[in-house]
Amino acid sequence: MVSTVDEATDKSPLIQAKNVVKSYGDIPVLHDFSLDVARGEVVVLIGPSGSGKTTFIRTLNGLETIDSGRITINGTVLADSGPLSSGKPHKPNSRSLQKVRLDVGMVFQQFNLFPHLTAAENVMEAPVWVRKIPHKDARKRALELLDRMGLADRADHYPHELSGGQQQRVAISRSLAMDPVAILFDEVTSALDPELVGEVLRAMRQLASDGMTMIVVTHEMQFARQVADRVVMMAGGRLIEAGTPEQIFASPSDPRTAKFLQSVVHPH
Amino acid sequence: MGEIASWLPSLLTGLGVTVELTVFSMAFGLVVGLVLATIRLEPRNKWLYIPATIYIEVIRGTPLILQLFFAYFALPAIGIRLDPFLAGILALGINYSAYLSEVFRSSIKAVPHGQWEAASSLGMPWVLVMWRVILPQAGRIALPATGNYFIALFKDSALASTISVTELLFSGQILAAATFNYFGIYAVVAVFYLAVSYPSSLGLRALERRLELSRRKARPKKVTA
Repeated sequence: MVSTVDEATDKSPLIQAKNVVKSYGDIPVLHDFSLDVARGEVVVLIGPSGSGKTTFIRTLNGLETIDSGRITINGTVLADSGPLSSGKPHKPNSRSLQKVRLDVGMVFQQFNLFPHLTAAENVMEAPVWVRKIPHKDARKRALELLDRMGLADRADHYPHELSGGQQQRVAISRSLAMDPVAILFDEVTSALDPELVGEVLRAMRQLASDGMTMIVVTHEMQFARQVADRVVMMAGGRLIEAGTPEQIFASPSDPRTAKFLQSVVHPH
Repeated sequence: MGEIASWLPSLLTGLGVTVELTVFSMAFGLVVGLVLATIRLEPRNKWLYIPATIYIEVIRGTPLILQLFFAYFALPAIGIRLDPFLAGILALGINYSAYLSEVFRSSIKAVPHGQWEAASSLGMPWVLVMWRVILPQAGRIALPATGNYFIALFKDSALASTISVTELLFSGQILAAATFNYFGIYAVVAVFYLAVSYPSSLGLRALERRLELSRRKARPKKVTA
């Protein structure tokens, strides 16, 4: 089982992003963006494409650097710099980057499974090589995780033999195998055929109910409504509003949220 | 027939030297080529990138036979005396490392960026990502071109005859000078080259097919009671 609530006394946020600023060249992507995520919380980021959602979660495990701001994850400072202190992007030191990546898992839109390894080998790879867990124990754990994802009979298949939905569930298992304190989901159902979306969302729902801390970028509003503890609306790299799903979906306070929801629910 | 048989001992010895020359030069070329490719993945690291680039351009821009002459005839002027065989390995290995490094660099770059991201987000440090995730995939991409270079190197090793390495061609030349049977001897030498290069090329093609990812299938399930 996923153990994430073992530090119930710890009230400080697990993930803390403060005044994060980032731009690609002259194009600003994140403007003074701040977000705290508590242990066990499921936060869903919504907003039009180009609003900075994906960039933001990628900063949380160092796949993107930030220009200024402060990011702290599970007590590790990943980035900390005053506004425009040097003009250079802030580069995290490799030790804290490593620590954060061990703490925070990530699941990608394109699955990114290792194509030369079977499903079970994909899941075992990091435990065996990074955590130095004996091969036999790692395989046993991998089979348990795959079984939980409904993939017991696919453990020895290669990624190209699996459907997109199955591949994505392997990717989730691979992330879980490192016992992360939180998992980032970057539009994980966007590359899937419509009939395969449900199985992945079911797996994520299961994780949420097990108490996993999750930050989810998605266009699946139904999922946001049912699973999120908090929905965050982004546009133009800014936080527009945040609230419970009821607040955001039933009575959004910002017209941009209302407009966005309108366009997602009735796309034509 | 009896005449051909009398040539065989020295031609077979020559073939042995050719194969050794090829294998050692290739090993040198693979290792140095991989190091150069890795260096050239990161242009921002100027202190390594620029020398590596100069090395590659100088080697690719000058004739192999000149490099052989340099290794054997020129280096003694600065106090480096190599025997012909070593000079041959050095020159052939250096020459092929420059070409192979470009094959490896483009193969590594052909592995989707998402593979780096997925592996590093699992906490794998750079070396592990490279060794466990990127190289197994890049290696498959690089195999056809690398195999071609291997066979080309096998044939180019004949140039080492110019610095008096008694490999296959030079063994033939010695016999030809003694018997004046140029036609017969060079025909047999050609057959010797083909007898190695053609099976090698078939073997490489088979290896390519074997390693193709789309041919990999789940192992048949064990029947459990």
